Amino acid sequence: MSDTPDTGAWRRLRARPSAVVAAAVLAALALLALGAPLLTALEGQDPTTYHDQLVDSARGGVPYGSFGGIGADHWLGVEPGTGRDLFARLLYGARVSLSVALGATVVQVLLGVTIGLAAGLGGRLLDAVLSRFTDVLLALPMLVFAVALTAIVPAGFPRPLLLILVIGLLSWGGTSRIVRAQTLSLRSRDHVAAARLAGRTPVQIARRELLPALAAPVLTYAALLVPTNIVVEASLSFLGIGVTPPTSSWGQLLSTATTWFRADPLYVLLPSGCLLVTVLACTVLGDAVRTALDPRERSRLAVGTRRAAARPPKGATR
Amino acid sequence: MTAYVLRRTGGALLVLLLLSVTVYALFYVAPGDPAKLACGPRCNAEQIAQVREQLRLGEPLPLQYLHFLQGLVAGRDYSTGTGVLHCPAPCFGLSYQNDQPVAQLLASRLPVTASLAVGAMVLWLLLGVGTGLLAALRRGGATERVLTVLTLTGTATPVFITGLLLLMIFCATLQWLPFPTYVPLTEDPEQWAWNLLLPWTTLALLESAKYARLTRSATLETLAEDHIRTFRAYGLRERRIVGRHALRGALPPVVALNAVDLGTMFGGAMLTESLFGLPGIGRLTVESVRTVDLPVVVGAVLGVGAAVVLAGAVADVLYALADRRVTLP
Amino acid sequence: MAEPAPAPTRSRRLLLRSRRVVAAAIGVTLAAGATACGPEGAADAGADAPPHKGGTLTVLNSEPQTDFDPARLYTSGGGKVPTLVFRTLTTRKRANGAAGTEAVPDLATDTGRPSRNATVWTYTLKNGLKFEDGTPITSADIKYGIERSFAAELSGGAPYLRDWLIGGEKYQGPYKDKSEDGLKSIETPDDKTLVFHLKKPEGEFPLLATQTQFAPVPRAKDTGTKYEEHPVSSGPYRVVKNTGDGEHLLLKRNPHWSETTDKERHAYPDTVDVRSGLDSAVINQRLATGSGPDAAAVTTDTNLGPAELARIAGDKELEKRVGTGHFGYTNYLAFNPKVKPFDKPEVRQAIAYAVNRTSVVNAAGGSSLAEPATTFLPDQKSFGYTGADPFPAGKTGNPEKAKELLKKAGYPHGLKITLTHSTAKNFATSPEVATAVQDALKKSGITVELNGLEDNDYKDTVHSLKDEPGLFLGGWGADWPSGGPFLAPIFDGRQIVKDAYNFNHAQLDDPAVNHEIDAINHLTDLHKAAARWGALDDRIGERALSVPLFHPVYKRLHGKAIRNVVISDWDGVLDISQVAVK
Repeated sequence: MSDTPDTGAWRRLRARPSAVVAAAVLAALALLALGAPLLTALEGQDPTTYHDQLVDSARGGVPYGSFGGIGADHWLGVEPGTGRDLFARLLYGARVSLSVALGATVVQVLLGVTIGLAAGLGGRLLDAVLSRFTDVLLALPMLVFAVALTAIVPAGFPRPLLLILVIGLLSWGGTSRIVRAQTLSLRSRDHVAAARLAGRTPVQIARRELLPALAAPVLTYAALLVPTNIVVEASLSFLGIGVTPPTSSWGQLLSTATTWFRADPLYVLLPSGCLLVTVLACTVLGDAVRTALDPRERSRLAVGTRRAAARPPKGATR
Repeated sequence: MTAYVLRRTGGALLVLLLLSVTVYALFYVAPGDPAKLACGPRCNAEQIAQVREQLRLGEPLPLQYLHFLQGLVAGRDYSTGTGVLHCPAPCFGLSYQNDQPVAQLLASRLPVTASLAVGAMVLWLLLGVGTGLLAALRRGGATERVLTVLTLTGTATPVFITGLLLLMIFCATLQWLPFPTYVPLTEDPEQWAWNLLLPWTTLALLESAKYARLTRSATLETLAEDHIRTFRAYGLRERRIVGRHALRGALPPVVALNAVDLGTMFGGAMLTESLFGLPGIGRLTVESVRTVDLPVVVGAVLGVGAAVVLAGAVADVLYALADRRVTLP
Repeated sequence: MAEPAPAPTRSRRLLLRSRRVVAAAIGVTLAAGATACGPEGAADAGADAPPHKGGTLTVLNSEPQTDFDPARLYTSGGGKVPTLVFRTLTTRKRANGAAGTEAVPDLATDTGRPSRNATVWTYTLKNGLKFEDGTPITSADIKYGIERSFAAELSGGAPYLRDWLIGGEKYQGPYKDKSEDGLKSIETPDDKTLVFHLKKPEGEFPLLATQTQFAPVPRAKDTGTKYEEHPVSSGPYRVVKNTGDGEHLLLKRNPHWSETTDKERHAYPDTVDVRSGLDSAVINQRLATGSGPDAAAVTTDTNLGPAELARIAGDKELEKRVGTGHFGYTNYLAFNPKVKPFDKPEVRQAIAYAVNRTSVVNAAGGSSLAEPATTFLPDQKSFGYTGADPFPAGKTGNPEKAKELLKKAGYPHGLKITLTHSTAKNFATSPEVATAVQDALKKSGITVELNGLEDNDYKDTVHSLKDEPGLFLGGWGADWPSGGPFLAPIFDGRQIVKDAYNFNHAQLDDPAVNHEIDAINHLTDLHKAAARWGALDDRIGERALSVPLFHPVYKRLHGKAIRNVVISDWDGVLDISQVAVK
């Protein structure tokens, strides 16, 4: 093909219906998050106002009415204990959760890939230094860091950015280990050896020969970092460095909702459903991007499917 | 190999040293005064000063650290009021909160965490790699989609919800399993396993998606490679190709991630330990961070450090065994 | 005390990956478990059946019984599990409700004989008292027990002995001070008699003598900081096993304890198995399910959470097994009038009017787990509760009145303030309560910014004279059910603490208040004292130095086989020494 690889990948990506759907879902989530003020205004609610009269105080603050108080006024019901509008809290929560989770994932992937590649391609000394540094980071519980941070970070520091930095800078160990392992096994392969013999620099080798092959595990892993980061965000707010109340986030909603899954199932299902949809969309899109980046995609598609398995003539495999 | 072991041991010692310095430094800035916390909320200034002296917190931080290193090499003596408690080398110190030697505290918790970590690992590898392979074999089919959504749901569901649901179903409603309490393996292996089954499952459900996805994508990657095509052209059975050859391609990322997960799991799965009431290292660490119990935190972090380094080394050896072209770094 | 040892809502732990569920739970299983398994003879079980001796009582707790040393325990009335092992000079009366707020004799023959204006208290020990090894308990053992609580190695107890006993501020404990007489203000003229000499009149000394520091410790068996592993019992049970730093405590009958010398403890079960370190959600689930040994289980530290209450309501079988209790505790907004704009009484009053106690109570778990508070003193007779409401805000606040006061104070266009709180999920000083206050004050034109601090940071900050913020969420619990330990540490000007935790948040040093506190401490008639404490609380309340928010209520589940449930207003928890499992 005469296309440049990039446009080819883009075309292949667009040609996959699952990729288009996944991208559309993520775009819709982003739109909902951005349009939160507008949509909640449409509903006539806001995310912070209490409605004491909507919850049954004697029964632990469970919302009156079925399905967590769903109705014309509160489209997705209200939060137990406070009576705050769930639709509004969910939409506003998406802003924090999506930006923090995606932002932190990007930081993790960038750091992880760079450090993992450097460790895998560099000399023995560089590998040892980087790998031992990764060990230190892996062994230190984020908790210890986070507690120390509470004392250093000024109160005015923008919380979402702080969260992106904390999560991103502290937990790239998994990514870097995967990248290093893959690099170690790839660098002795023929095409990499050939490139090295041809006098390519390690950076060139990394970009041309390794990154395409690394895309599979990295994209796969990164998609799964997203939900973890959303939950970590919630636990950090527990230490006082998460989002400040009354701001909501999916993680915050989930962590207060856990005990309610029998008394008010919708309260749990809504944030966890949002989380699941995000993860699914990220995974599908990650998969699609990976295959689209890879020119051998078509042959791979055929592999292992029933069609492919049926292809060899009957007599060939005893 | 000997050179490799030596290099790795040296590296490990450096990691541990760096870890202990970092924890000391972080605690220096962290809020909370261990002397105040150990003394209790209604102590006066004089009592706090006495407790501070007794905990040897009066010294400047670098000196405290030096004494910590000294204790590691030579051991330390502590007063119990009525007598002397000798903490033999390597002495990690006494807990500020309950005056027990840290090494003893950790040793009593290690079997719990090790049981949890290793059992959970077996389950998540079985579930994850199995699912991933199946998904690779049945690519595009309904089985793959169902499996993918299932494992992803596990990942997207916080431990607390998964764990509570499992408890509710198996311990309360069906009553097939006991509410978990830790029974040592040496005491009763059968009870050990029954009691840990739910915590293992909870962790495995959370972790297996990563392994499933990694296995699947790496397997597919390998299946498209030239030598596999050759095998296929020779008419090797698909199942055999996947089992024997493609799986090998999935090894590096899976082993690397597993080393990370297992190593850090030795720091304890705090939520799972808390939920199931397992007295492991994770809970000890959380509690010690909360009470600014520096010696215990340092001890626990060093333990995790050792586990992480060891797991990393094992992973390196495994790559070298799996792929003869890879040499030990 | 602010962070009381008998914590009403257990302190929360920091967690890495996601937060842990609060005093909480799964209503989930509650219902499911109830129907799943009922023992055949369920008819004769239940709290009303006559109690018999025998069986094993299981205690499922979240907080481990660390520091199981009578010198180190900070208890109200001798504690829950500790009261099974440690007998004290006096103890709390084991009776339901308000009747249980009295001190009664335990090791002593009476609750103490005061003289010289209640500055000298004399006790005589009962006959036939023995330790678990059969050696007789003498007055010297009790004196030694008190002395060792002064040792820096064994810190943790309440401050009263140090503050009240002559020479208490100087005494260093028996490990450092090897003098023959030890603490001279405790005299032991013979094996049966103890005489305490106090610095000033203290009519409530008999209530203090319920604390575990008044338990006997044989000097020969003292092992210092290791004593907690196996303290020598004077009570109905002895420690057979203590593992995991108090996570698992196995208690068996003490053969040398005799019911004839102990009117308060029944000790029906043969064995008490205390398992701690459990998650609150799991504790409640196990109690609800009640399979195996869990049928004969109780908890002494875990409340039902709001979500569980939502499920329990309507389930008759489970509702019957919920014990409701009241422990003297108040959660409030604390002002530091040294910080602007809280120096203006009108601002403080405006906030008092603006508060919406309905949403605050909901944030604390709803009306079953909290009662709105308008007085600083808990709403019980023994504290001298008057029911005063100096700034009536009604159920949901009075924004009109608040705005009017703000105008008077010079803030006609509203006001912006900061509220400091803890990030611990404790339903007390936690973000939920802070947010409820924030939302209510918005209606009165007061914009509240929240400053959530990690729990240690929070404690250090709000209790430091230097760093104390202008407005924060606070709480105070009863060391014993009386106004004294409630009002004095908070409002006595002489208890402003410089270099340690200060609880006098308003830094109030009013000679009239100080004088009245002294005057009430003269009284040995505690009913009269209660009335005076109540009146003093009303007078202080009018100054709007704090805004009382709510008093927590305890709702605790117990197993199906549990009988003889007694819940006093002293600690609000079913009394473990009364419970029978057969």
